[in-house]
Amino acid sequence: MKIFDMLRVLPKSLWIMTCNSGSCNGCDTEIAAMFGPRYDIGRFGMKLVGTPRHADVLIVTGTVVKFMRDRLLRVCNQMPAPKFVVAVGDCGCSGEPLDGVIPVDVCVHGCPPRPEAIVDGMTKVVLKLESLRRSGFDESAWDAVR
Amino acid sequence: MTVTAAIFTLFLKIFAGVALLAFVLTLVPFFDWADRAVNARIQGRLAPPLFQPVLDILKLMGKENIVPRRAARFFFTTAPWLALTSTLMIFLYIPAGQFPAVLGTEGDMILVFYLLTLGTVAVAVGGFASGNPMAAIGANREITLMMSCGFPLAAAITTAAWIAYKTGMPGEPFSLGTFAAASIWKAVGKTGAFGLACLFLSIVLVVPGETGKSPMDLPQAETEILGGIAIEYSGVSLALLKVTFALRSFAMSAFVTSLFVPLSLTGMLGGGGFLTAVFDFFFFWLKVFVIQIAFVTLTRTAFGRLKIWQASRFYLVRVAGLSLTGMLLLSIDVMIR
Amino acid sequence: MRAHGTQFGKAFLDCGALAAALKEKFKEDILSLEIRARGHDLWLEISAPSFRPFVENLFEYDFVNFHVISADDAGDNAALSYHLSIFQRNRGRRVGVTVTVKLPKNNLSIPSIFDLLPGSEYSEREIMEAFGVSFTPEKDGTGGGLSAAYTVPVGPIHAGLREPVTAWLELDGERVTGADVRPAIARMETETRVRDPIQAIYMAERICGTCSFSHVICLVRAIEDIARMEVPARGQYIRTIVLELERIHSHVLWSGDVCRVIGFDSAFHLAMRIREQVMDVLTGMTGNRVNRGVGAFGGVRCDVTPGLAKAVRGMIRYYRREFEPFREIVLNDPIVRARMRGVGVLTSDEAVRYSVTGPTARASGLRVDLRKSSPYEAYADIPVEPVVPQDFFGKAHGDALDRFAVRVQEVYQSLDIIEKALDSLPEGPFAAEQDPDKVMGCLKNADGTGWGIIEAPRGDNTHIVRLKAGDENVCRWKVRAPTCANAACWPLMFRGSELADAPLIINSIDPCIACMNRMPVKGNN
Repeated sequence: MKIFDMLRVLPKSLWIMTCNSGSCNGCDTEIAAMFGPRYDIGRFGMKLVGTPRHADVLIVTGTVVKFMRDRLLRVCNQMPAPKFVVAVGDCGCSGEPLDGVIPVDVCVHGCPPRPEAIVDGMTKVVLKLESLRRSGFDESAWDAVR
Repeated sequence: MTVTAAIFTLFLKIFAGVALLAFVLTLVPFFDWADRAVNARIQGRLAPPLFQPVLDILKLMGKENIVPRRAARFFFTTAPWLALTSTLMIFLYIPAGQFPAVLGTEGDMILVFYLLTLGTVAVAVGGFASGNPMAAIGANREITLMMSCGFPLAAAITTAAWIAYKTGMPGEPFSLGTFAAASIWKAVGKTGAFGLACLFLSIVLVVPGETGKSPMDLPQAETEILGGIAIEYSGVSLALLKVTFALRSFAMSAFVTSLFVPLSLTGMLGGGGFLTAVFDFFFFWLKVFVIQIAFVTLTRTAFGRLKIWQASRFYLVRVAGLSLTGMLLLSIDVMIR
Repeated sequence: MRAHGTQFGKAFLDCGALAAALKEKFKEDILSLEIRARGHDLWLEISAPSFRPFVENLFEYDFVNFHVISADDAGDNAALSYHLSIFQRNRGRRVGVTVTVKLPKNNLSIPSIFDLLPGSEYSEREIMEAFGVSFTPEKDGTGGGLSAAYTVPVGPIHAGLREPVTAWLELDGERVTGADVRPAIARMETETRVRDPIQAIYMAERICGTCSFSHVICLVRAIEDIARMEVPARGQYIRTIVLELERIHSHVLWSGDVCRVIGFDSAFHLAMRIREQVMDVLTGMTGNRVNRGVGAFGGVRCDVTPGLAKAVRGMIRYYRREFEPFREIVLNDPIVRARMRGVGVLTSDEAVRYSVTGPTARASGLRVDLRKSSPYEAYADIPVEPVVPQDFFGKAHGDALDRFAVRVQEVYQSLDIIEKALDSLPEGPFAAEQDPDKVMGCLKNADGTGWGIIEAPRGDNTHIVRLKAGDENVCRWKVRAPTCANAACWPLMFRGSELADAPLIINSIDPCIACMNRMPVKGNN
């Protein structure tokens, strides 16, 4: 399947996997609310999946503690390309940045960010894909974007 | 039959088969969407966009297809193909409205039952071949569930065939065409109707078990075994699996409809001809739609998930008991008529 | 297992009487004794050799609940403070007892009380690692490993769990024959740096997202205890209202989560939809959904205006209507009953020994609730009865369904409490002192150790704080979240269960690993 078409299809069907790597659960609560009826991220075609093999987007909350570091790397490697990582919450965006462990695409700031802000973060993933498409993305460079 | 006639029939069958399967494959994303939409609306959410299932499959086809190092490569990659093929073939044996099944003379209910089983076994083999303990547990559950559902389903099928034979319904007793031509409900009396209702109910209860939806979605339990049999699949293989699962609900609903819901508008309003046959054809798929929404979607929304021994016991004790009751009532009905 | 005597028979457990009885028994071994009137707590220091007999003697009273061991540096000695509570089950009373033992630094050894109170294991281990104190007899450091070939990890990254917990399960088909549960360490690095009390409030908020205000109030009460600060009545009532709102939000979230784990997605979405109402009210009242910055020393930082009161009453009416389906689910749904009945059983004896707290303890049949036993804030005026499953199932099984039932009923209880608090909201200021500089000045002169303990949504939350006069920063701050004690029971709950039950059992105690693993803040010395 041509990557060019993939860039049209992928933003409309992003499957999400969440990982709590040592957060205070505030962000996880807001992510749970995001899947609920009021903020309803399912209407954009985004779905929660349980295994990295099915996922397109990995949402990581919290600062990466030693216990989770290895596991996070492994989970990220298990995800098939193309994949994206979203760091939710100030823990992962600053202080002990998640960026040092796995490459991060979108940072959603807030402590914890409101569900609307997290949905906005997912919108940024979609926009990133749009900009890749408009800039005439080359298939062979997909590995660089992961 | 002369050679030309045979070749002509062969080509006709191939053409009809391909056309039907293309039609089914076009219809299945919309049935899947309807299932998700009804589920979402009942839960107070908005429905996903109309072409969402199509987009999901297209996206999966564009993703990287990872075969885990520990997986048995051959079985891992071929299992989804086998599952998809066997589930698709079921539609070739189900008559739609007044049109006979494409391969109606070559296969009957027993073959449909076999194809359902084959699909399940293929998916389970894929799970076992994944090299992941969660997938192995999911595959275990799938096989156990299949074995438990098998009894009530077989009882329903054989009893229906026996009724067709005993009451002299025209056609082969085990062929689905027999049940499309004449209504089974008309062939039995009052007691028989109760018996048939029991059989109908037991098949309806078997539907979640065969299709792997709540309350029997154990083989693919997201929150317990993280996707179960599908846990290691990605890319094209996963796309095939997803289509297979959607088709299975569709196939089971079509099977139930063709056996127990022979309602036909033209039959009620009278009339014949090619146009009414076409109309009946579409009406059949409408019936399948209603059956699927009622017995797959609504059950899926209303219930949680059972444990494997609870599900197995439910089928082997309660549903089997129900189908045996149906059998008994129908035997009494045949005897007194 | 020690038999629990009834030294006081049917009489109320009274701090003064207890103190007198202890003094008589141990005479000169008790080096100092103090009754803190506000918390009905007994603070005493005892000489090292008579520590163990003292603890054994405490078992003469109804039952002993272990909270935490906090340690402090006292020159030549290390002072270990054991924070215990004595509960009187039938009367629902509680006396907090803090026993301090000074150990010379050249001989850091003390008898372990693990055999009396298995719930003290994690705390002893923490002290052992952090301060080098050895508890005799020595226990084997690591837990026994699992040997079966088929061992499956559940977690830490799992769709059914919200927490980074790994449960290594030894499986025979689907049946669990052995379980080893290891929580992750979720420490915030900033906690090890020194902070002043007002900054400590901000850190306390972020210990946990779902019980953030409980941690704040716990910390604030501990410090107010040291500084002898009084909170005006209106401030107490507002604190109660926000605490109960938080309890509702936490229990509704948990109810939805536990249904999602058993595959009941519709209930999950219903819970998420309902929960938004209480989040709206909390936002209107405090300004934020989760980390509400309204805790303050001497009161709160927000007020309840008439408009807010009307919104809160509307919310109460909404919940009374909309939360009914969950009561139906608990009482009537066949699949929920099939999944949860008999799963993760914890008998009441085990609950007592492991010092389990909160809804988990109440589900095992113990009638203990800190809001009744040691009334704090407005609970002195609003009576609270502990919710136990005997009241609606007739018998307490101590399983997941009982925990579900207790939490669902507690939501209704909280609605009643909020309504009563709103009805009788006293006039007056909502904080003793609103100027932070004056507050800091007052705290700078405070000296001593304070113990704040409240009933958080998950159980009893304990904060031990030590302030030194003249030092602006908090000297020592020990946090013990309820999950510490409740999580120790996981191996017991996994007995005779299946793989399908694993996420359910882990979730049934409402775990919060983030609350659980905290480093004590060390001062400069």
